[in-house]
Amino acid sequence: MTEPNAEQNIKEFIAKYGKEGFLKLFFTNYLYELAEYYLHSRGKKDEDAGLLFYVDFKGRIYSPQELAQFRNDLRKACSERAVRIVQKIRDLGLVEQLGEDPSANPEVSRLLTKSLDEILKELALEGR
Amino acid sequence: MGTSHAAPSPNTKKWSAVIGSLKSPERIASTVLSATVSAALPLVPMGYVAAPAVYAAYGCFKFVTDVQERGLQEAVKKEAIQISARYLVPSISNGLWSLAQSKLDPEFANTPFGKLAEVAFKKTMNAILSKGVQALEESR
Repeated sequence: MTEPNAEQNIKEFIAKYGKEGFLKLFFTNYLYELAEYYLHSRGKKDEDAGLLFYVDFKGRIYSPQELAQFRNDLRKACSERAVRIVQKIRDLGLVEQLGEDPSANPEVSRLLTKSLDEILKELALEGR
Repeated sequence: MGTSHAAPSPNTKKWSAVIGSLKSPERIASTVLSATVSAALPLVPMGYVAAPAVYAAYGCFKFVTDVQERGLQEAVKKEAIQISARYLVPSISNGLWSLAQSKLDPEFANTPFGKLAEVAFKKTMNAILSKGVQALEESR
């Protein structure tokens, strides 16, 4: 990878998807990391997510292909959620505000943080 | 299975739904994700997800604007990002996160959720810089 290639990639990405494209990809990656973090947590016997991630209900170990497919499906599900998060961010007119330096304007930063928290809470409720 | 350093599972009713979805004979990723998000997000203290996201977005948007106006080389110079010719893309992503993190309250940055934001940000920037438009198309 060279600097001109990287520059071309970033310019083409923004030209096609805009700032919302970054947000979609970021929240897809964030939700995926959050899910992997909790799905590898340890629990009591028979309730250990970290074990159940790799072993099915009969105690059979998932094959590498099955695990790769599950991770791929999980990522797609994260991508669908990320699209909904960004839609809400757009509906609230927050996309442009996210381009303002949050450390220079604590009030805007506080409002953005509060709004994002509310959007994420709504997302959690949708999962019930 | 490599869970010895893992965090303990939440001890909540909602977490039982996650275990149920994992144990289901037909494990469906979207169901597992819904249950996990529903169980996990309410446990995250206020601001711990959103604050790193706000700083990550600002860091990216500012850099993108600089790249569009001045080109990558000047944008990197302007932010005093140390880049490695061999590891160009990760070094830019790492430098951008360091800038974002330096402005973020350590209360938010130095937590597992701050670390998740760091990984998500670096993966995002690595993908955009190395793959361009394919970065988003591949994630669908």
